[in-house]
Amino acid sequence: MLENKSLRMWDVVTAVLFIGFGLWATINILTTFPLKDKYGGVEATWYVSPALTPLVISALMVVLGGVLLVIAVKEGGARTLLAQLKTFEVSQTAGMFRFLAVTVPILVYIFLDIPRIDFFICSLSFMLVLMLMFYLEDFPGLFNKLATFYFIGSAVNFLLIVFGVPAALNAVFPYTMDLVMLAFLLAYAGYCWMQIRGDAAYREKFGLAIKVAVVGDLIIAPIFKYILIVPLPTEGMVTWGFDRFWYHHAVRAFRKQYPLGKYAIMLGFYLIIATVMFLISKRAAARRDTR
Amino acid sequence: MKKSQILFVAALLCVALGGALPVLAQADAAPASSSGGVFGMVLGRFGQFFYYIYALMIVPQNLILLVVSTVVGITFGALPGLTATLGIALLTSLTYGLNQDTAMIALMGIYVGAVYGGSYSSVLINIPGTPAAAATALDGHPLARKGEAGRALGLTTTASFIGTVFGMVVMVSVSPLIIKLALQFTSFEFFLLAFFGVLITGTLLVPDLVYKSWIAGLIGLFIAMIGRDPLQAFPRFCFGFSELEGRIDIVPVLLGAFGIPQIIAGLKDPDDRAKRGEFFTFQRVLPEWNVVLKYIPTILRSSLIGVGIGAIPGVGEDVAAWTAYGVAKKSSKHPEEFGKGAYEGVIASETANNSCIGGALIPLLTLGIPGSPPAAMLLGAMMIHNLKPGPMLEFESPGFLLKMTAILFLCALTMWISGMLLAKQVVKLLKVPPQLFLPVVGVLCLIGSYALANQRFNLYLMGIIGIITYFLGELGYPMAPVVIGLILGLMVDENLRRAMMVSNGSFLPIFQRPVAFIFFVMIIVLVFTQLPFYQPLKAALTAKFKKTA
Repeated sequence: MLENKSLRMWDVVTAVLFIGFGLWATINILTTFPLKDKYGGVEATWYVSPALTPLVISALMVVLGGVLLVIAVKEGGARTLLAQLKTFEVSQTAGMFRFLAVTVPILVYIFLDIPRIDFFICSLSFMLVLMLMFYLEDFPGLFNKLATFYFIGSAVNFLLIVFGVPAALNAVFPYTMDLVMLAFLLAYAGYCWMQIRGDAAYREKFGLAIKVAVVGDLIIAPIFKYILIVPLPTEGMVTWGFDRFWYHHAVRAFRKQYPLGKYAIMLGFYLIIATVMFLISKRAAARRDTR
Repeated sequence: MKKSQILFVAALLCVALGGALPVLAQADAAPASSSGGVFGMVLGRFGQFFYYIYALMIVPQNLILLVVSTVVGITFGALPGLTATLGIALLTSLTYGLNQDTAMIALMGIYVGAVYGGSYSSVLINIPGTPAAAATALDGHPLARKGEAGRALGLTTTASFIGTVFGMVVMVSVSPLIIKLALQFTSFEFFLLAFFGVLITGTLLVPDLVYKSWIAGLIGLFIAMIGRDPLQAFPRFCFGFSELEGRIDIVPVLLGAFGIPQIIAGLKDPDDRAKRGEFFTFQRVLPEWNVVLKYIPTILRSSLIGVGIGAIPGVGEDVAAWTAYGVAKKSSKHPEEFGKGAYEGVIASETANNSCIGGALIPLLTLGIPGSPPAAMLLGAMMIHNLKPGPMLEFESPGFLLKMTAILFLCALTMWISGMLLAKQVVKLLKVPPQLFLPVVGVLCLIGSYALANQRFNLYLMGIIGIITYFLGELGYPMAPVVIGLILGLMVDENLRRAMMVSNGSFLPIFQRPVAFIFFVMIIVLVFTQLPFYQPLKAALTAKFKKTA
């Protein structure tokens, strides 16, 4: 929570917002909700009306917003706000940059990527972007570089969507945007690698972040898709590949014959991933030793 | 305890007593059953209880899920940034395809495990894994510094087990009484009870000003109004979006409110747990029965505090733990030892936060009003599994209360065994940096929101709610009233309008029905005592009274 002076300043802002919201809701209710005559065959007197409870809520919100405003102004919130507006301080930008570095990936993931990109790929992208940005942030200057790289990529992504490019590209080849996203991910990871490759400790951290992101993605998405039978929000290239295997006639027959077969297949899949990860770690350790 | 808490508990006792006496008198007037009256009935209930334990345990799926969910719960609790509420919310979508009993075992396992698991990081790295374990850190971590980490964890494990069992006993004893009472409630009582629940959550959880907590409750109530109203199907605040007409799902809102802000805060300002590894090693976790037996009065007192606070809507395990810790310190013969590694401090907080689970289930199962944020999530999960918590629960699902008691007991036992055997392995997870697991949690939140209804709209909702609640949290608006308001909003709306329909727009029945009147008075008193002029007025009246005396 913020300290008291800042808190009261923001209380003035939020109080005004809540008063405004309460007034808007009240007007909306009084003008659009049935308060008399009939609706749906039911007599809409005031005490039966669907407007009753919302009206009480919006009225209370105006009242409490007003009380909050009075208290905030009394404790110097308005003065602080005016002072802040007069001399807008730029010193807060470091904190704001860090905040944006967390929230922009979340918003891009939910609003831009998930509706258009294969769930496996966009989840991997989300995890890897955040992990590399924050897990390796002790490396001098890396955080700002990665965040800037990501912001530029997201801005380009947004502009492409605004101009309808993904739909046009996907009309040519259905999984074009999946490939574009993969390319961006490789570029991002490659850019990070170029910065930290001279430091053994950070190379190890980089490797660990990649492993956790890939393994996490390969555990979560298949469990929901194939064990819990939840269709993924967008099923693209990678899901197509998994479906080729899972719905292959031999695998389907195996699952039909053995009720617990799907768990055995999943277990086998995770054993393969674990073995691959183990071999990669061993090879990396051997390389470290030879250096 | 705060005065408003005492008032509420006193009111509940009066209501319970006022309602229970005629009910008990009726029971006395009934002819004794052929199986031996009250004693026979109690024996029968015990028999049924053990039967349910047996019936649940012979299903291998139940046994596996019990162990897995309890361990996952302990892990969730141990990792700072993850809460019991988030764990239950994430698991809800995973349990969708399971039958009722198995789903309840999984959800209760994660609930009990998570509340206990917070003590791991509290003791070992002085960072509470969950808010419920914050008080444990005060004496648990100094014990670890003295080289008694294993002993401290043994104390927390045993105290948590005792607290959970105590809460379970109170839950099964008190709930039938409350159900009998609640069956006599009309719409007026339910409306006032639900409104009181939102109000008291806002009053007791005040990080800053109480008006902000009340506004948070109003926000939750408003969100609950969105969609077609239950009585006339009029679309309220839908603005042409068909996705909003079916009302807003609880799970995406809870995942957004509890998951996204944690991810933002955990990445933006990560803790330095990786640098606090010196106390991760300990010999073994010891069951400290002899120490526990020495502090039986503290255990009983803390358990009662935990159950009482758990029964208050929306107020959670953290308040119970702090209150019990404070009371234990005040009543201790050696209060100066608190904060330096006092066993009593650890026992008090851990017993209370776990007995709070049973307390939170009392209003949840009997009235449909969640007693804590994790219980609120449990309510959402129960509704998804076609269970309607409230006075009719025992009629629609006979034996459910006793079954939940059995499940709670099994979860407590599994928690104790897991704590004793697996502490060292779970503790290794504390070394995992938040920057690596929080993004994974983000993906889980997302797919969990989507899985419920296969709607992308729920994802957008989760994202928006998450960002807004992060800002609200930073500005001193607590989330618990929002959640309770969302869950109780429909109860408030339906019952108010139904009550008005029956009384033709008159509020007179509030003053004619004793229970409704008590709730009404409680609401007035609660609001009045929070107004700014109350304290000066009280001081002036007290001074005047003292003068005349």
